[in-house]
Amino acid sequence: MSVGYTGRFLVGGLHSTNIVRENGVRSFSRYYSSVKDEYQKKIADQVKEFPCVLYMKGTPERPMCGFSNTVIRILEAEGATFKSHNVLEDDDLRENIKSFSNWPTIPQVYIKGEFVGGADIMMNMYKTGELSKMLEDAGVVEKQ
Amino acid sequence: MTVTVEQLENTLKSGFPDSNIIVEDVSGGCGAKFSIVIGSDKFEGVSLLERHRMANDVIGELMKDIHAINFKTWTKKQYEEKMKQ
Repeated sequence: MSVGYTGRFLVGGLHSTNIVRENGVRSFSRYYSSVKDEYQKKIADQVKEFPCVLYMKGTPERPMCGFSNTVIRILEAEGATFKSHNVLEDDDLRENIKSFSNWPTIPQVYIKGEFVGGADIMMNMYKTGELSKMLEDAGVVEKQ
Repeated sequence: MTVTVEQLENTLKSGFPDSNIIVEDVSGGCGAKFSIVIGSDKFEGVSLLERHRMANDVIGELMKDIHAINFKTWTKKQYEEKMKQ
C-alpha cells in the first residue's frame, strides 16, 4: 500500500472517520463523538506519562516531515529524553491532538503535561535558552 | 482546494488591521506551505504561544488546506527593527 498525504488527510489507507465527517452520516457521527471523547481522555493521560512528550509525523529515527525533523534535532541538541508518538500511524490521534491543544499543526511538544508549541516556537525557545531551562526544570536533561 | 497567497493576505489583513503582513508561498513537494510575517501592535505584551494562537485563529478554516506555516509574529516595533537588519 502506498501512503501519501495531501494537505491534511492521508490518502491510500483506511480512514473511515474522515469519510464520516465529510458525509455527515448521523449514525456514524454518534460513533465518532464517542471515539473523540475516548481519544481526548487518552491524550490527556498520554501528555502526562512523561515529562517531555512529542507528537510528530514519523519516528525520531525517520521523521516524515521537515518540521517534525526540526523538533527532533532541537531535542537532540538539548540532550533531552522524550517520548514520541507517530500521528501517521493513527488517524484519530492525528485529528484529536489538534483539538486537544487547539493547535492546528503537528509537531506538538508537551512539557510537564503542558502544550509548549510547534517547530517555530521550539526553535525560538531553543535560541533564547528558554527551552534548556524548561527541560532542566522538567528533569529530562542533565544539569550543566 | 488550494489556498493562495492573496487569500491569506486578505484574511490576515482583516484579522490584523493596520499591520504589516508578508505572505510567501514556500511549498516544495510537501504540500501547501507558507511563510508569514505579521507586524502588529496586537502582539504587544502577548507571549509567543498566544501570538501564534491569535494568528492561527484568524487563518481559521483556511488552515485545513495548508500543510504548514512558518510564523514570525512581531510587534510593529520589532517588525521595524527586524526589517532594518
